[in-house]
Amino acid sequence: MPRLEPKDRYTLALVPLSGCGGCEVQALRALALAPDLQKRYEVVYWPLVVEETRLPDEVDVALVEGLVRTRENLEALREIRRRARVLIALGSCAAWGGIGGNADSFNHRLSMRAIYGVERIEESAEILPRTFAVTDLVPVDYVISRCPPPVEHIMLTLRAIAEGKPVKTADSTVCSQCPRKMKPIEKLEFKPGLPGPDADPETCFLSQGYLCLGSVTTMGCGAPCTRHGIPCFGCGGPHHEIAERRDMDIITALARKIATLAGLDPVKDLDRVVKKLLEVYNPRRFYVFTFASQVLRGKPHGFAVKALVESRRDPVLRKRLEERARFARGEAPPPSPGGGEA
Amino acid sequence: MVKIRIIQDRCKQCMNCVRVCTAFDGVYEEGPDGYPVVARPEECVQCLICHAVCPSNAIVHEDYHETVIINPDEKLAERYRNYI
Repeated sequence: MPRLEPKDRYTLALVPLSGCGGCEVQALRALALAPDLQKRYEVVYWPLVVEETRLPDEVDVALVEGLVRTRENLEALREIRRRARVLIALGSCAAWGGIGGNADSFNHRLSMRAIYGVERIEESAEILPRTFAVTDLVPVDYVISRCPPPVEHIMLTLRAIAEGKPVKTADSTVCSQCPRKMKPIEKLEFKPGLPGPDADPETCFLSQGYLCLGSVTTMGCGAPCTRHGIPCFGCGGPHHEIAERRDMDIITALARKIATLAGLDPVKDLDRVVKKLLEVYNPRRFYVFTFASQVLRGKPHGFAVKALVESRRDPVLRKRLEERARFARGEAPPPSPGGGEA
Repeated sequence: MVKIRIIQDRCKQCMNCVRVCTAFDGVYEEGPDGYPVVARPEECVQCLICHAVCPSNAIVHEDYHETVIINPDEKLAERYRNYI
């Protein structure tokens, strides 16, 4: 853990890469709501907040938001890592690839043709062949995950860095904060799609046969989605044990838990449960927020790579892209919205 | 002997640990309050499968056996070189 020398005021920079800007707003809220942080940090570079357009030579603390999609992003990221003492990956995109990582479902040339009608625009930035999470490319000191990252997490981290203390972390999952009751599964079958009004609001989604990633997602949100009837989509990224251990993946860890709930053996019947899960759900569904992460693509079972290959070969998605490309070139009527669900 | 602790704030009372334990008699039992209790910690063979199936990481094993691989330091290894 890097230690900063004690100072009254540290410099702070925020570098936005390809992202929606939601994390920037959360960081701004964190600074606005904590007057003590405004005293300890001086913002030297932040396109949303200050007018300074050049990155300073040295920064104490730098936040990076968004994922690496273009060559400009890559250069900006390398530059900030060279100049910053402490680098914080802010949000799911920087930590795991996030929603933006789903851009990898298509060939980047095909997507350019589908949107602009040409493969490359002369003045635009060069798009990299695949997307990268920030944590895959440069060493990062802290990761504040979730989409968007909670304000308190940003405040706690910045405060702890300013005081020179380690940041406290918990190693549990979203399930520990979810009020739903877990019951044994009587019959192992999965229901596709989201739970409708007939779902029991008191019982765990896994017990009812719906897919919920709460038991494999790192804690810190207070389980707001499951409280309001939406299963967890895993915006916080996988639990650190799943990310670190070679024999664990999101699908296998979840299948172990489901198998035990159904009274099966978590080791012997693992393949059966995994097969059943993948029959009902597209493998992309397990990697909604972690599709671009090299950490999960490098797992031995390779479910993330399988999801990537399947979505790139998906004839429905390809047909939609080609239809859209013909429309962009002005050769065909606009494609019907909502048709051809993948 | 290994110490097993169940953090009740995190526990979901799903009894996955009771169902999955590979020890002969089973280490865990369903307690009267609905939470699992560590009934026979001396049976534990430290396979840690209960950690893998617990949905909320509520089980903590303390003082379990850690294997130490002994490697001599550079100075000691340098002395061995002269023996051959």
